[in-house]
Amino acid sequence: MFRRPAGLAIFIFAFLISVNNLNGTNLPIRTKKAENFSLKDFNGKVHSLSDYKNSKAIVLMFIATQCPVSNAYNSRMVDLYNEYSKKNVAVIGINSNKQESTEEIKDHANKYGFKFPVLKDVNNVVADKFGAGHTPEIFVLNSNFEILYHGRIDDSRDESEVETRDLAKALNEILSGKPVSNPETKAFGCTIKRING
Amino acid sequence: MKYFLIPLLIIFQFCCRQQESNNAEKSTGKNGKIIKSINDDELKRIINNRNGKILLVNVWATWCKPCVKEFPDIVKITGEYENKKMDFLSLNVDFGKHADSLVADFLSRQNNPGFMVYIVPEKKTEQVIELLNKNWDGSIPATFIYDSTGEQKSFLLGSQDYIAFKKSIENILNRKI
Repeated sequence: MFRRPAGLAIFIFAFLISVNNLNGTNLPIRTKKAENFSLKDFNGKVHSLSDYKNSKAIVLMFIATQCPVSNAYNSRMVDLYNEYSKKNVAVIGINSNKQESTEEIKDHANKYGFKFPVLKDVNNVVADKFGAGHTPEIFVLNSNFEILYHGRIDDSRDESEVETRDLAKALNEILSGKPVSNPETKAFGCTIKRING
Repeated sequence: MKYFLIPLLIIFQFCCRQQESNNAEKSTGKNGKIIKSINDDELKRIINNRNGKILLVNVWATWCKPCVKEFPDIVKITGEYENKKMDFLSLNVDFGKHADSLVADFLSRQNNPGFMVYIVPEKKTEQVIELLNKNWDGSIPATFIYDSTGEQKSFLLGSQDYIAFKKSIENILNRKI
C-alpha cells in the first residue's frame, strides 16, 4: 500500500472535485490527491511534502495560534506526534492564518512543546490547494500523496468527553494496511483567515 | 376506574414534559431563551415548517471572533425581517457543560436581543453539519437562508455584514418560486 513512487512525476494528477456553490459563497475545493508543496517552518527551514514520501503516512494539521478550538487540541497534537512519529508517521503543522506571524507561531510552538514542524503557509496557498477551511483540520496522506483521511482529530474539544478518536483510528488502520473505515469526519472550527477573506 | 386513570395519566405526562422543558431552557430577558440542545428532528421540523416565510439560520459561537463581529448585524437584520417575512434560527456551537452560561453572558453584553438561541450538543456536530449542508466543513460563522418552501437558497460562509445579509434575503424574497 505504501509502495515508493517509481521516480515518476507523481504530482500530475491532482484531480479536483468542485463543490456545489449556492448563492453567496465559494466553498473550498477538495483535492483527492495532493500536489507537492514547499513551505518554510518558523526557523526558516524549507520543508517539501516530497521530503516525507518514505513515511508510512503523512499527517497535515491545519492549526492556529489564536483559535480556541485548535488550542484545545495542543496537548493531543503533541501526544499524537509522540505516539506516531515512532511508527514512521510524519506529523506536520501548517498555519495558514494571515494574521498569525512566523514569530507568533514560533512562540506558540515553544510554549506548547510542539516537536513537530509548524510551517507558515504565506498567502494560504496550501490551504487553498487542500480546500482546508478551518482549524484544526486534518489531512492524512499516503506516500503517493493520496488523501486517505480528512476531518477532525476526535469528537470532543473537551478531552475528558472524547468517545471516538477518529484520526488515531484512521492512522491505525493505515498502519495495519487496512482501508480507512471513516475517511471523512466533520467538526466545528475557526475559519482560516485568508488573504482575500 | 379507567375514567379516573386516563385524566390522571394525562396530568402526569403534562407535568413531566413541563419539567423537561424547564430543565432545558434558560431565560435571557425580553423574549429571549436559550434552549440547551436541539436534535436533528427538531431542526428539520423548523426548516420545513415555513408557513409562507423564509428562514435564516445563523451558526455561531462566543469563541469565534468573526461570529462576534457579525452578531450586531444579525440582530439588526433579524429585527427588521423577523415575524414579517422571515423566521430566524440562532444555532450556537459553544462546547462544554457551561455553554449556556457563556451564551447568556454574551447575550447580556449584546443587550439581550430577545430571540431564541439553540445550543447544538457537541456530539450532534456531524448530524447538524450534514443536515444544513453536506458540503459544509463546519467552519463558522455560517448562515443559511431557506425559501418559503424550505429549500436552501443561500449559504454564506464567514463573517458577513448587514448589506450582505439584506442582499441575500431580498434576493430570495423577490425570487418567484
